[in-house]
Amino acid sequence: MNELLEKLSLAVESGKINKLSPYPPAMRGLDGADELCQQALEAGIKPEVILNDALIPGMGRIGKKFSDGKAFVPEMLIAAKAMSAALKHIKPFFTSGEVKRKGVFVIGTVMGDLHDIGKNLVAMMIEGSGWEVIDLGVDVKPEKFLEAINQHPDCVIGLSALLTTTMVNMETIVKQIRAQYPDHKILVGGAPLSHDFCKKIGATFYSSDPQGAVEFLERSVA
Amino acid sequence: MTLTERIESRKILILDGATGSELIARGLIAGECPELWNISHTEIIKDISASYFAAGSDAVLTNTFGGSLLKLRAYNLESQAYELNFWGARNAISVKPEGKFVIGSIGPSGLMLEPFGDITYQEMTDSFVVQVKAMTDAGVDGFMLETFTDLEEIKCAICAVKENSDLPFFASMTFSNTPDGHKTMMGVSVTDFVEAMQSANALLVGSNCGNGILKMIDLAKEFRSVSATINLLLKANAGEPHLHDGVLCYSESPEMFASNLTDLLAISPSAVGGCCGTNPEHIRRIKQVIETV
Repeated sequence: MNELLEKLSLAVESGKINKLSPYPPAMRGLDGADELCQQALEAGIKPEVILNDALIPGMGRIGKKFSDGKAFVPEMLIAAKAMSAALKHIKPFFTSGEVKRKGVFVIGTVMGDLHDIGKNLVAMMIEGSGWEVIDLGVDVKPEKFLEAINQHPDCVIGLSALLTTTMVNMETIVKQIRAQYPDHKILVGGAPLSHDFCKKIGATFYSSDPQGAVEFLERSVA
Repeated sequence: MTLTERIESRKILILDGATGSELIARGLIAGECPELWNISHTEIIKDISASYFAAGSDAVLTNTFGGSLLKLRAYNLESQAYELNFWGARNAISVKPEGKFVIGSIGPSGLMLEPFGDITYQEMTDSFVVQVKAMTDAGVDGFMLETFTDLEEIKCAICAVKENSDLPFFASMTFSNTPDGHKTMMGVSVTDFVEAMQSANALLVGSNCGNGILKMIDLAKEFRSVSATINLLLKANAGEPHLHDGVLCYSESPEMFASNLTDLLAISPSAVGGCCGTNPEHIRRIKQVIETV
């Protein structure tokens, strides 16, 4: 593989945002995802190739380590930040249509719940895998999700909850979506959830980690 | 007897069960600020503490888990932080029987310190200072820093305690199992946590929440293998939550909890109690088992 792409992929996986960022200490002073992505474009590498051969595999490796219990939230967050720094150079090509998005993913933390670390991680991972992400924020009421589906009929919905007290609100939201859109794809995630819970509330898919959500979305457009 | 003397007496300290799920059972709606009930529903808050004391708790936690500035900011209640924490402590103290203890609960901010998030160490520490000051003024016997996952964040909370009171503190983190032993969501190992808390002079070190008493036993064994001498605190939740006829239930009944307690007691904890989904009945059973052992 192209050496530049390899470096970029490693920068994303390691969470090296840009040249100035002090993390990780071992890469101090080296170019980060920001500079390397710019250099790759200047070298004439197609944005789609950068995305598919450097950014997505880099994020995928850290995502896999996270799923395996070998990396943790800080490593994931900083990798996602590096990914975003690279992605901002790719964004104009999405806008111009030169690179096609895989689809629209709408995510929010359910009503009553203000926690967003998990939701943000999933949003960043999915954006990094080539989707347009619409983040509705925290404490999101059912109407907001319905409105989003109305505007983006082919979107996939993602619901997040951290608390056992708010996970029950997922059921309310899923029911309201199902009443109007019986077959709409709805992903759920959050610390207290389980496959059993997902099935009971009628959601489409549960993943215990962000990488699982990314893989589900990949399958859904395959 | 002070809290420190009580722990040094080597007699197991029976803590309380959950506060959050008890509040829900009494009408708190998801999305409401639980700490606001310290001034709006004082009788209910006192009733929860009283029910734990009656069930056999030697110490109960205040309803101030989310009373830090950064947590209250999400509800626009930052300006009432002192008041909410002060009355959180006073409600519990007002129903405290002679010889029992009230511990000020301090939970994590839900936000990330730099460089992973954008909160500075100073902001994080200041966020806890108001809790420590208010509850020290109100007369708690000590603090419990609970369900933390980031070692740097719990250190901020410890700084807040040490610089603003002379009271002892318990330190507790929430772990899950990984191929390399138990780690918190932020990747902190049991060893790292125990070593840091020993050097910080925590009165009790341990874990709360997680996924039920059986998993807590495995975790407790790892704590014990790291240190044979630490004063261990264990507060398991009542298993994984699931839906039953549209109502959220926890899988571990007071009976199930109690029947596994002997294994937990074999690890020689200094303090035991329950977390999410446990209620006064769990505590009553814990007390029964401890008294018969």
